[in-house]
Amino acid sequence: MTSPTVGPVATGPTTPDAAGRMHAVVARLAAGDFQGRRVGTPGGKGAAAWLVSHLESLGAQAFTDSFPVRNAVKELSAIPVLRWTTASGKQNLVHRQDFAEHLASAYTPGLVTGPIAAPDGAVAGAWVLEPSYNAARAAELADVGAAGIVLPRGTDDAGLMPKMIAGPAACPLPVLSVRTDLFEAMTATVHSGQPSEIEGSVPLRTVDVEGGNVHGIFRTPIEGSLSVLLTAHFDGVGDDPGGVRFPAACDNASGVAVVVETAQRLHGLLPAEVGLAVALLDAEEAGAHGSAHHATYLAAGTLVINMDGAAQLHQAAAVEASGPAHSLLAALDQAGRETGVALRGQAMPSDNRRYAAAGFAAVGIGMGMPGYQTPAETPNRVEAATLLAAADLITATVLHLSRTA
Amino acid sequence: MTTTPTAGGFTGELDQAFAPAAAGGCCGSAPSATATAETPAATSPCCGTAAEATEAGSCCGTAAKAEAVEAGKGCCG
Repeated sequence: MTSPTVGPVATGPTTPDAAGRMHAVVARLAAGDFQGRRVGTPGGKGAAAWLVSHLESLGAQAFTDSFPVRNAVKELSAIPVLRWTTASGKQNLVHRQDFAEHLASAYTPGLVTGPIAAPDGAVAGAWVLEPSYNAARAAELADVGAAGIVLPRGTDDAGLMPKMIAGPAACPLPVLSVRTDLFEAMTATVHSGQPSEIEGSVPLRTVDVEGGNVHGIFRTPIEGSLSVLLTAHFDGVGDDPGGVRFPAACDNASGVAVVVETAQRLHGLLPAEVGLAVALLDAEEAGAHGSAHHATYLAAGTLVINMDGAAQLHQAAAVEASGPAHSLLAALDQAGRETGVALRGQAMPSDNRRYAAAGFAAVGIGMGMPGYQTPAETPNRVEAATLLAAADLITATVLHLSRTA
Repeated sequence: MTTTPTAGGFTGELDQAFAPAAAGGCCGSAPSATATAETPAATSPCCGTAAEATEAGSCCGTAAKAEAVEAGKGCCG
């Protein structure tokens, strides 16, 4: 498939001011009072209220739309504990560096103590070392009286274990993941016959919450005219109990900043008949519930562009297209050529998929998330050049669509 | 500002964006109009199959995504 041949478009003011505006949005959303913006928390609701106010200040008609999120959000009521005792002494392992809660764990707020056992060893009353999680195996271990399950887990380049809040159904046992080298050391103690014991707690429960999307209508389309929706999720995985911060600057305050900046820019450039709105979505981290809710009533024919991560562009932006998105993809290609942003087909499993599943033409665009879902995902990791590239790319894409519609 | 043509845009066929390959262990292709419920989304553990994603009520199979992250492979979205 080839792109239509159209001339370059005027994409509006790409200035240091634009980078400053976008960085200001990122910094505000990543601030401590928004507590990592997990769906259903005071911090998440505070971020939504701030976004409504911000969109109104830009001339949009802004409002929130709430929806239920049931049986989907995994929440820590306290920091999990893992102590490992051997003949050499007791180690207090460090949460999210040495170990983390497994999302299939039973809610286990109190300490459970037991020896460490190999999968084929004496598992009754023991924490059992398993190579990977399997629900049927977990049920089998619970039936024979195992105390818990320990799994191996890797870390990111900084030695951290990314946090997630959506996962499989809870099994009957506490489940903890430990860093791969520690798992191997635990295995070695079992094989050598040395005494080796674990005390562990996993206060992880599943909660029902209310989400709230933030909508900003910049222009209502004249019937039959092009209508474009720019989307980005504003929620994060939330801070840990005790105050460890997960600022979610890259995933996805950066995407929100780009979408808002781009809409502001396009509002002054598009022909009067073209519709333009933004949807800043909640509960993506819990399974893209916000977009699933919105897709049920979005006007037919709306073209959707979703931005998920605009923090550190490396070589090429990732693009996933779904639904009847050929013209949208062609416009994106043309915009990429004009703005110098390289593009490649790569999976973007985010809100764009919800819109596509409902029959809309949708593309998801990703430009990097350094520090993904760890405390290292701070505003200073969001590169100004990437924010500007993303805003230019989407602006040019929509302008091309408006010229060829 | 008027942009000028540069070396950007898609490096391959545009249609590749409709069935993107998994990258960095994550994630598979999206369910599409042509995918069946049993279509493997990827050979990597994330995001499972379209059926799993549907069952999980998510854009990915949440179990598969959790497994990928728990394995230290990271996940997007």
